[in-house]
Amino acid sequence: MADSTTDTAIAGLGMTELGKVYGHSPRRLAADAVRAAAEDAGLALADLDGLIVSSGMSGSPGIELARTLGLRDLRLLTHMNSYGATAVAMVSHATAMIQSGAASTVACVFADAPLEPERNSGSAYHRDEKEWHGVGGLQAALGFRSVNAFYALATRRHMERYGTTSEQLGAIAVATRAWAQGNPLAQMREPISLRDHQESRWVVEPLHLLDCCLVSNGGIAVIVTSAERARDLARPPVHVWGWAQGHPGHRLTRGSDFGLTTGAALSGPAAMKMAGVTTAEIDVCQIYDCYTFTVLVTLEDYGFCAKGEGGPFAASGALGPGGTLPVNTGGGQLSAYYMWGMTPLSEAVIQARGHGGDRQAPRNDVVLVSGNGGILDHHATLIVSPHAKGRP
Amino acid sequence: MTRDPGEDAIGTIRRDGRSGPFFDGAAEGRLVLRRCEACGQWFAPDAAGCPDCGTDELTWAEATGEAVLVSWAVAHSRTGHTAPLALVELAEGPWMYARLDGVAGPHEGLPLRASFVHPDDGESYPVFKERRR
Ligand SMILES: [Zn+2]
Repeated sequence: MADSTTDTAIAGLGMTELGKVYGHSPRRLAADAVRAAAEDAGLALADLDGLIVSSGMSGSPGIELARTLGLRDLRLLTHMNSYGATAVAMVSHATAMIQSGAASTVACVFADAPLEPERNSGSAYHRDEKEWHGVGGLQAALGFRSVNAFYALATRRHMERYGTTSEQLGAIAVATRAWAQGNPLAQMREPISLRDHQESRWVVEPLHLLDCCLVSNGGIAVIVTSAERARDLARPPVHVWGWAQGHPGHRLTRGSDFGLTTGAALSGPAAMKMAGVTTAEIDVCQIYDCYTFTVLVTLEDYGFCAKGEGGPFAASGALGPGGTLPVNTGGGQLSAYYMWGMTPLSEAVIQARGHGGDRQAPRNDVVLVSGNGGILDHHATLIVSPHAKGRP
Repeated sequence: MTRDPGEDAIGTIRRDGRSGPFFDGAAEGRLVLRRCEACGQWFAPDAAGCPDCGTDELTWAEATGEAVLVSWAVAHSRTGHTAPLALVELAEGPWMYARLDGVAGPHEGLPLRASFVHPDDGESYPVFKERRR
């Protein structure tokens, strides 16, 4: 177990314009985000000795980003991909490298620009062809043309097994939009009702449009350094208390629990154990919400409610403003912006700093962040706090 | 992510270098899967190898075509077309992404059987219908 001298903290947060922001490559957005994060921390780019670059949908800047930024004599430079779990995985890796002494001050960055002005948002990720090749082509031809279909199958399986309903998923969409109203950066701030959710068009049944995340352009970076160093920097440190990953390796074969249990069941308890907390001590959750269903199943797997009880838990109003477990206080990926795992991570930093303004959660001593990638294939969990580890 | 076509007209299916036996089988009304000769496990037709044995030399083998429904979804296009999608568990064990045909009341565990579509142009392919005793 690391002692306090090697505990780490997030010292800087940099965000570019997010959403329908056109004309910038992922590399440019990533560079801008790293510069903004360093400035936020009160650091010069030359103070960085580590850079971790995430994959993205539209082409990652990769490790060439170091050249773009003119970074010299780095002791850590790498490119990581576990899809939506990457942001948390990057912070975890930076922490481990800092604890080992390999690096001291590490920027972790994600940027993406899948949106083009003349195309609708869905087409950014969707293929449409008249002729299809092979078994994979057949699958696409039959209608499996984007991840929506696979998440719809996962969602339906959970509904069938546990009685989860579309209205319960709608409660997550409504709560998330209510939080988004307090976030000036959110793309969607108009309030929605459960009826709006139910009447929004089907994308892939059982997923309505309002069950699905946005598509956004932009870049977000964080700076991870030792907790000791973070204390001397410009912003209040956001201390890293615990982290873990979970990759269940679901096989699509008899006995699989695809759609029922995710990697959160592995990584959540491990991260909480490292942090020395239980679900009862988590004040705010930032849960990866590519779909409303992802929030529901992740909360179950973390143990905030029993398996199968995620629907009633969401419908109880617990997750929204004024609820017992504030979830996705910035509006998440459903209503604010879709920056893979950087969406929940950035909001966790804002909440832990107490900078949430109108949307600040009443308590922020322990903040949980999740990342999810693939079709519920990859998961990572991070627990942060405004307080140094072991001294709440 | 906000758009899925789910068009009724699915386009034309062509075989590639890895799928000949699957489409030959479909043309004859047979569901052909991959199998690991070393350990006897069956895999979906697009499997690249056996994760248990490590071999990438799977053989093609004819399955019964019987299956049960694991999960289902309906893709909607903006033009009003719908496509009934399914995840089915084949009797031999593997799961397969497929389309349902004429299933009125889908539910987990519903018995299904492969049936084959033979378009005028392009390869034949399986869909799954309700299996009645
Ligand atoms: Zn084998």
